[in-house]
Amino acid sequence: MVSAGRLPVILLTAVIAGLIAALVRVRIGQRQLQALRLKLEWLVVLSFVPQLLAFHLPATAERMPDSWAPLILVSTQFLLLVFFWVNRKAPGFWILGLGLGLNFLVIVLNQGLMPINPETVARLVPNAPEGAWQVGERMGYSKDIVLTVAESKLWLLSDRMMLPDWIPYRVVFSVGDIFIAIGAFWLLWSLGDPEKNDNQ
Amino acid sequence: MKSKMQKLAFSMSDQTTRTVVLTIIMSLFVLIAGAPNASGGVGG
Repeated sequence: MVSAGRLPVILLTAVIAGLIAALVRVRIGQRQLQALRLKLEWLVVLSFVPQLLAFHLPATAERMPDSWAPLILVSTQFLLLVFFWVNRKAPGFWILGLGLGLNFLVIVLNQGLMPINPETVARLVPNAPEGAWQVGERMGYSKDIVLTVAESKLWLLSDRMMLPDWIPYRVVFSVGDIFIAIGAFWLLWSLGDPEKNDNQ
Repeated sequence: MKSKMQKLAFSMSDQTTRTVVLTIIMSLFVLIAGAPNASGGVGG
C-alpha cells in the first residue's frame, strides 16, 4: 500500500531541545530570552504549504502527479536557500545553510528527489508489500527516489543513515539533515545567550 | 513607575511572541529543509 510520508519529526527534536536548553540557560543565568528576529520569515511558510500538500497530506498527495514532486521540492528548497542567505549572520545559520545546500545539491543532481538505495528501503520498510516500491521510481509520496548506489549521484549525501536498532523509531536521513539539526539547535540555544545578539 | 511596569510587561510579551514565532518558523524550516524518510511513503 502506498501512503503519504509521515512528517519527519526527528528534526523537530533539535528545535525543541534547543528551546529547552535556552530556557534552562536563562533560568540558571537569571536573565531573559533573546528576542531574535529573522528576515523574510514568510518564505518558510510559503515553502511549507506546497510541501505539505505534495508530501504529507494523503488526500492531496494522492491527487498530485508524480511529475510535480521534483518541481515542488526543488523550488521550495530554493526559497529556503534565499531565506538562509538573508539570515546567514544569525547564530547557527551557516551550518544550517550547509545542510540545506548539501541536500539541495544531491536532490538537484538526482532528478529533483532525494535518492535512497534499495537496501536502505528494505531496512526501513521490511514488510512493504511486493510492488510497493521500485528502483527508478519515486518512493510512495515521499521526497525520495529509489536508486541503486551506482545510479545515485553523490551517494554519500543521500538518505542512507539510520538510527541504531535499539531505537524503535525508524527513519532514514542524510548528512545534510544532521547539519540542519545542529544549526536549528544552535539557533534556539543562542536565545539563552547573556548579551543581546542581534541578527545583523 | 506604572509606565515602566507597562513597558516591561510589553517587552516580555513581545519577547515571548518572538520566541514562539521563531520556534514555529524553525520547526517548519526543519520539516521542509530536511529530507529524512520516516515511513518510506509506503505501507508495510
